[in-house]
Amino acid sequence: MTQTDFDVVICGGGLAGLSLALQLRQEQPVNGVDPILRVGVVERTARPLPPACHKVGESTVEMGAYYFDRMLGLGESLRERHLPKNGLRFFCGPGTEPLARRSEIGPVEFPIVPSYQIDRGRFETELRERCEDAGVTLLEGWTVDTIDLSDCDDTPHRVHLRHLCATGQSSATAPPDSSSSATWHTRWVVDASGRRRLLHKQLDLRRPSAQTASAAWFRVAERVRVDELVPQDEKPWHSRDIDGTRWLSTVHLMGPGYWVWLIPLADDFTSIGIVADAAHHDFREFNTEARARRWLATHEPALAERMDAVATEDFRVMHDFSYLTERAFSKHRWACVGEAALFADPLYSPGSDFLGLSNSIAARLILDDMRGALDEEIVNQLNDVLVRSGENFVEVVREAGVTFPHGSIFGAKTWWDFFHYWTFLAPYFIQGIYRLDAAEHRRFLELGSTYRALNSSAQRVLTAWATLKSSSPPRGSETPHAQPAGRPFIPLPMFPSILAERHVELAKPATPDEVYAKMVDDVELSHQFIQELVVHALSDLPPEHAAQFGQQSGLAAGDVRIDRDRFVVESQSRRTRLASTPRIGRDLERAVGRTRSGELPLLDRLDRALDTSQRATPTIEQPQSSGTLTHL
Amino acid sequence: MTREEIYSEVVQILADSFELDAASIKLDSTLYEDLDLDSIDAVDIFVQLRDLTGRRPDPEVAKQIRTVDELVTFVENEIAAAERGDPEPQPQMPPGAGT
Repeated sequence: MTQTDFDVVICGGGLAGLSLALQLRQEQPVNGVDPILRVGVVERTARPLPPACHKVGESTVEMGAYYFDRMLGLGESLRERHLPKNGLRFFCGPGTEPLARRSEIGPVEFPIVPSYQIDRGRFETELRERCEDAGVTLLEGWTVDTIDLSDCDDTPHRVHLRHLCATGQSSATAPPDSSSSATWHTRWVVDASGRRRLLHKQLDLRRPSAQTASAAWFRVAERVRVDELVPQDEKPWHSRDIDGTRWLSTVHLMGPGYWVWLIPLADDFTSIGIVADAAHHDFREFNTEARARRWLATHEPALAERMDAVATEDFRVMHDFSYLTERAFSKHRWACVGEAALFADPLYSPGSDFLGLSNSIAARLILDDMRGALDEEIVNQLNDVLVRSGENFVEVVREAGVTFPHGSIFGAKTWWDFFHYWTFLAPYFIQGIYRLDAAEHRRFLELGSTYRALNSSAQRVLTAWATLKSSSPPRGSETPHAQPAGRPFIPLPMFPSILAERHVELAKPATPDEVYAKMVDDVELSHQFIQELVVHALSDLPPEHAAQFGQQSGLAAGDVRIDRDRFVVESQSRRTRLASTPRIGRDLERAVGRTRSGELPLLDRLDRALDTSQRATPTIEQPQSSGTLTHL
Repeated sequence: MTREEIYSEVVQILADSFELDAASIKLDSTLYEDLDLDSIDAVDIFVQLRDLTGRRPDPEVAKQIRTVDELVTFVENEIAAAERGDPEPQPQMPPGAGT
């Protein structure tokens, strides 16, 4: 190849770009690449970065936490300088209800597998220093204008840079010729420019996402704690939080078609955001600070009232934020990582998961190439993993808004979503399956496709259940101020349970064969789980909705594996029933409670749902827009 | 909370969680024989009792409980211990998680 300035140039020195630079330098010796990899990072902003800088994406979950903590070795710093995260915590039900009356879903104890609330300004400052210490060339105050990609193995890519400002730049990071523009020649180019998406735009890689939601968020200079929203005399609600650590969770206040996050940041800052589905909430209702405060006053009045006395440090919005990608990795030596690749949705805080996954795939491919061993087949397989994982996550969130107000339905959904995440993608990443050769990796790709089909099926069942529930009049005992149906508190995960076991197993090293065998077993459990979702849905919905549920859930079309015996035992005594219920069914029942099917036995409801000749009852309105949901 | 109130809360939890007729639950009912509960049910009871006690139960003490009467006494003792500020079993928590 013609002489290059760098082996890898990373466009963008935010969380994704900096951690990839560090990862490349750290993983290099393991991969036996010699001589030392030359890594350059181009970043617009110059230090000093303010702590608690206003970047959304503070909350990590298992994969992202594993990536920063164990893979990059930043655990000590995370524990000392950032907040440990008490899992994800959800409060379901209309926000106009008192918070103590809404179903709470979350961990009972601090999760054993750690995750963190990251202060982005502080974390990125540390990453910049670590990158420089590791020998990465970090060019601050510069931007990438264009990238000339080479499709020939002998010719380097050319990255054209422009100087933005003269301040805050140390001599150590001065550009090669100190002029206002420069060109770097590099073997690999990585787009880590976040939502600027340099390569996405240049190569027209963007694929629309079926998720159409928008977000608005505030950063405030004080702690806004969820427990401040509940009066002190709500004893059971406060007693449940034995250690007073509820506020360290990423708190979600869930209502029809929306959720509001509360994330504590270091130095007593709090991030508060609104995420709302366009099918339920018009973006113009919350796209300015004043409107967002009014929106909160309508939908989450207790929080709005608490925020009345709080001044906003920053306010940002993001309209229609979701996008996917055609391709993130190419044999022509380019890659897109973090949000420059895709961003599906912030629900469940998956941003750092996709960041860790895309970075680790990029690092593997780059180091393969530097050893002269880049295999086109594995490039395509790993590209498929990332692209399909993004699509699969859109399936998780696309219709989720209809489940948000219903504690037991959203409780069942979180159980499924966590189970699905902890049985496929999380072990895939944490156990390093993406490092395998193409021949060994292929079977995981096939399994991934099975898992995605299962996820689609589960989401259809959940959506049909919630949609029909939203259109059903409440049962006799339910008045607007009654305790929500189902459990007031749903432990996530509950101990002991299969879900809790899968969570703990994430931290235990396993061989690829062991991981594969476990994933195959969990396909079976996934089928059982989906059947349990059907059991709960059919028990919960009025019998006249059974046929319509069958149509909407895919049950009538034969998309769900059904064992009729499971539906027969449902009408027997508890002990008999438990003896023949799969363990995962008992777990789910313990978590979200049991709805008795009352006047019509469950098996009869199942038959109604499976009967393809029976048309959906015409009297039931097809709920599909905000119209039906606003009645809640 | 009086012992009577605790008793009625406990009966409510048992009836709601395990499909039992509240009238069939007596003070001297045994959890595992009369009420036909198992060890998983027992774990779930103690999670729910946190709403009453505000304390993390000591598993060794919890394991000894056999009757509804003992369960009521347990809750009573836990509430008293909470009021006295007695130490309780430590949670597994990452360092730095203090408030």
